Amino acid sequence: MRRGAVGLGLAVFAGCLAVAAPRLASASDERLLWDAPRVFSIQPRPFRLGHEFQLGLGVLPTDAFYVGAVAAASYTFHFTDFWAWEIAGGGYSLNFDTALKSELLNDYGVAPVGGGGERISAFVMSGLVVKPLFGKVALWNDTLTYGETFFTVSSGAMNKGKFTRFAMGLGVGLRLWWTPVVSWRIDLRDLMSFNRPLPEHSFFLLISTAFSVARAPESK
Amino acid sequence: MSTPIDSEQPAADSNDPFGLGAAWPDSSTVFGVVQKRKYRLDHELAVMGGVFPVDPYAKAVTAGLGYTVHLTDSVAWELVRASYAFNVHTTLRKKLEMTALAQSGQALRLPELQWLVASRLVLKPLYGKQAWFNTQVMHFEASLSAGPALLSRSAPARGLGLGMDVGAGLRMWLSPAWSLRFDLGELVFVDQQGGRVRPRQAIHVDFGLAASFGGES
Amino acid sequence: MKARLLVIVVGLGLSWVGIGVGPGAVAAAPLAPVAPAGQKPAASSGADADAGSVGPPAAGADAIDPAIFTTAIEDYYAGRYADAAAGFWGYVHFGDAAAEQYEWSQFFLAESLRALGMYHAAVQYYATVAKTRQRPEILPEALRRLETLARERPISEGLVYDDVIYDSDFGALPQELVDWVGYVQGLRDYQHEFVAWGGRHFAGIGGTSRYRLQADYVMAVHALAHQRDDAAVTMLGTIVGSKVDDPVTKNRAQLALARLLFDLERFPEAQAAYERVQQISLSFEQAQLLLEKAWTAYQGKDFRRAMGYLHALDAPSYERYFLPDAFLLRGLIFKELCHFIAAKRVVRAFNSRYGRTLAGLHARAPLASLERIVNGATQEGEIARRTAFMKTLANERLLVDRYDAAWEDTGLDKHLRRLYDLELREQRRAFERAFEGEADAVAKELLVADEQMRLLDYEIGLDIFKRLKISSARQTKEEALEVPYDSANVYYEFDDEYWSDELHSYEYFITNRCFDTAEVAP
Repeated sequence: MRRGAVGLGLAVFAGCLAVAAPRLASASDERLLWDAPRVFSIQPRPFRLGHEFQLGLGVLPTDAFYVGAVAAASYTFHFTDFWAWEIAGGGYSLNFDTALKSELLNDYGVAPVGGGGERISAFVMSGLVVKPLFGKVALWNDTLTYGETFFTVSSGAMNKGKFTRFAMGLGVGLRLWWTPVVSWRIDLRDLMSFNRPLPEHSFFLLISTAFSVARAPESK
Repeated sequence: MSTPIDSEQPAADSNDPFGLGAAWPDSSTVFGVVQKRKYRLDHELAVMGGVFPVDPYAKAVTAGLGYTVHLTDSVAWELVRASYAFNVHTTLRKKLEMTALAQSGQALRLPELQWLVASRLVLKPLYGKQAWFNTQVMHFEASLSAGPALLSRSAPARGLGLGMDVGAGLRMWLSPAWSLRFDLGELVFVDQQGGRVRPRQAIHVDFGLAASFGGES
Repeated sequence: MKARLLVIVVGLGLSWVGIGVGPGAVAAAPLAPVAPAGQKPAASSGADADAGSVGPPAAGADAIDPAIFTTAIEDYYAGRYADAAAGFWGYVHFGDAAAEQYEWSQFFLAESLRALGMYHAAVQYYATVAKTRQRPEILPEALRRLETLARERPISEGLVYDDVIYDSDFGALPQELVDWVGYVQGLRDYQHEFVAWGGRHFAGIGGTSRYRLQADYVMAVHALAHQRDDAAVTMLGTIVGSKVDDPVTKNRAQLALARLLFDLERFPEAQAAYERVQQISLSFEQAQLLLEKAWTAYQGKDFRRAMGYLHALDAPSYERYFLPDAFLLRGLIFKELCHFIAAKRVVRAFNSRYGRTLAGLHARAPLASLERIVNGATQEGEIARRTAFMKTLANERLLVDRYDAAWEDTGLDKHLRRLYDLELREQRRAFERAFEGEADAVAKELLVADEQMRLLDYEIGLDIFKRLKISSARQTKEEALEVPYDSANVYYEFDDEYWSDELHSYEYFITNRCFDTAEVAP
């Protein structure tokens, strides 16, 4: 239920975004005709990604019986400023029991069957990254930095309990650049494992540092 | 400045000791990264829906209203956020209830969140914009908040509970008057139950639509 | 526009050259007269210090206790600069010029005042030490301090450059000071048209010195002022391409080169030169640069780019600057593109912005009472630097109040206040003299702009009703705007929000509504 609620929540948010966001831009060969003047600030992208290596710490917070502290890493290759492929990404989860098990035993004299269900211990995924939003951020209106919002669709394998299952991930992330090489990322992903027709959802929050070897900037 | 110097003493105003008026260099205005912000908030009314997704026994789906006063572009006070919870029992709870009924013959009562009222200080350090497919620009801001919270839980939890609600939020403007909000928060409160006092925490996620009035754009 | 640009190039170059090395060195107040001989200065506490006196006390004064100097030195090296300044002042003011540590006292008094943030007072004493030169070993240090202050802060140019450096022979000095002295002396020679002497002074400046390019710049401006345009272009180009590390001078030379190329109607080269000018601060100079770039783009028929530059001038950081030409250019471009309603709106905006000022001018109101005239007259050039210097002096004068307790006994506070008041008074007089001329020029500029806007308004009206044969009229085709979603560039459409980093990157996309043919029906 809770995993479904999280997945539903992500889907609702994505829907709000889709409704709120303006219509998609057309393909590059569609021409827009002007009458009223329009003003654009056209600036070269100050930071461009090429080969990206990510290291971070995350958490799997939504299971009632355990919280997973995840060490994660990934390698992503950015084809263009819009498309990228997360060639390989994965995480190892160190799981800590919540107080629920002892609470059930002490307060109600019951114990969960099988220790409370399967626990994620590791996962490996590969998938598509789409980066439709790029922009800039003012910190206290004093410092300027740049950021982008990206969406991920990935699939792979997840080790849950004694089994390795097929898994998919849907996610959204935000990147803030520190330097041309170093950026900070926040990723929210819904990791779905399949051992039944309906997937089991695990909400994954990752904060990480990314190191990038940039592609050469194109001329304007 | 229209009169010649006729005094050896400077004028009383230390910011313009020689009465040069408009000619005196004005260093009082400092222009930041954003010179003329498009979206400024003054009074805000928000309708929020949320969920407490981590409770093992009941997922509280909340509906609430919030009123915020934005003192500056960086500081605001959410004077009140009142939420009412609709609880959805989890499978675990149902199983527990059945087990308890079978073992002791008594119905199991577990405390659930009924309502929550919080008041939070909001800091808004980040304001930015992103180009959506290079054709449209979306404006957003990120915030941090913290403040006291008063909550009511059903029996066997006793009375009102006092806690602290901290969190982060993201706002995306649809127009000068309307914006979407996404908040992630952690409610920490004291649980008094069965003679025991222990701290509890509950993560909550809220989405909402905010209407702004009184601000400039 | 061309004549105005030439005046700007020469005037800016000469005024910058005239200011010299510092950000705002301006002419100094003359030193206050030395106390007349025979007047014995009071040595007791609370004495009324002889206002403005920086020179030696009268002959016949009692010998000063050397322990005063020793104590003051201890205070100085312990970081107690206020106490040290009081001690050194006491030694200087109440002692004899023949006292052993007299010059050192003056030097350390300057050091102490500099540490306390009273730079103008420090300059006075450094200049005194450099001028009297009783102790040759102190001279290089005093000059070094003056050179640093001149480079980093506004100083009294007349005091340092005219009274101390010009016409002086300092003998053997370290090379960096030789460069500076040679530069200042050469600068003054060029200003007085002693070109040969100036050339000799400049020839002594080292090839890698920070003053090398500045000297070359002086010579380039001199060539420009004497209508040797080609030589000026070559010299400015050499400065820009030099390997010497002096980005400020190179940037000034780049701007001067761009303006000169514009004046020579070499618009594509001018545009390229303008693009290479670095401007960071949200200053009048940046606003002026945007306007000049807009004119250059207009001359090159790149109306979109020109409008982009003009669009940036609407940012809050530039709102207060006096730039009536911006309205004229915008109206011209709208008219060229046959956006007549927009052109009319520009005329109305001009009237809204300057209407009250124009009414005041027509009513012969005092120019000082018209805020926009005052803004325009004081926003650039020497007068702007003078007001900035006056602000510095006023702020330093306020610092004196902090040390009343430490200085009351010796009267140093009263002396410093008098020192600053004299300088401020003189600066104010010079300001008022300069203001009259500048305000007149700005008023004339506004009246000319008003006349041109009225003419533009009339021409817009003519163009609206221009007759055209329908059969031969065809609208100009032009390429539509294409915004790629996947691009190395980011396109932020302007939505009434100004970001400071975007002010140089606006592009204005506007259709040309004009018809292709101008054939008029009989």
